[in-house]
Amino acid sequence: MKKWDYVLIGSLTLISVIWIIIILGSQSSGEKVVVKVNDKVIYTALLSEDSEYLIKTGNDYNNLVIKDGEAYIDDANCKGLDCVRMGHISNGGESIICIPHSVIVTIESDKDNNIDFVSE
Amino acid sequence: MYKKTAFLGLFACLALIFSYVEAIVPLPIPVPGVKLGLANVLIVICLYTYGVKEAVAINFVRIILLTVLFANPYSFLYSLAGAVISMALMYPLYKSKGFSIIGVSVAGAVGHNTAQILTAMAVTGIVKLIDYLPVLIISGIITGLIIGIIGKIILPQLKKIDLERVKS
Repeated sequence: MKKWDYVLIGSLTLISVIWIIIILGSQSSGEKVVVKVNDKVIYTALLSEDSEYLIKTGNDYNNLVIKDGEAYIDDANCKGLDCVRMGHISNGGESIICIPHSVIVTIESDKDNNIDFVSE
Repeated sequence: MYKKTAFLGLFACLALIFSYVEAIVPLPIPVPGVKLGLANVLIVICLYTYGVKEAVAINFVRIILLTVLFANPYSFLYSLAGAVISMALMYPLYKSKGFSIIGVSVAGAVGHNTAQILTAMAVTGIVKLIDYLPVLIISGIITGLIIGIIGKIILPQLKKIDLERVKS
């Protein structure tokens, strides 16, 4: 191990840890479940009301379940089912993503209107 | 007779097998695109024995075969992006002498993961994917360390073998 190895690994670790702390710190108790396909909002629902919604993208699907204040995907026809394994989300800022279907499910609170990104 | 061709074929095959096994064993971390990138150990070893052109060549062969095996055009794009960025980072660090094989491997792994997230963001348009970057950087550091250590152990053994020609 040479000196610059330590510099590289040390600075990368530091940046990542600080970044993760910032992300975790900015989460607030959210209220709306927002579903976006290709970065366009196609469905929203209240986190507080139990419901199910089948997200359809062309011939594909992801089944969204909202229950007991948590949102999760319990079934989909994508390979790998990463979205199902991502688990339950319940806080603002948390998200479940299905890359093959370009689906992203997030929690947004309507108290602080966080605009993360504005797309032109 | 040239041993080099045989060895390069061996390296490419091993890299392919590593990538293949990695792809079918799902990781416990439910973050999209987190792959260990263990095939990079062959690339790094090739870089330090035969050189950068050979390393790039076997990596390219591995990517093509991987795409054919999985019949997934996206895999070509993601793997290519990962390979290009990681070699672009590894080669200068390797030449610079200020970094050991461990630093080079870490740079390669982190570069590879970063390129994959950026490609995912470009392909899907989901900007929020950037939130996964710090996790992937950390996983890249860990993978890079493992690969670097393996490389450090194996290289001295390889130097004992003449990798170019068969002695007659």
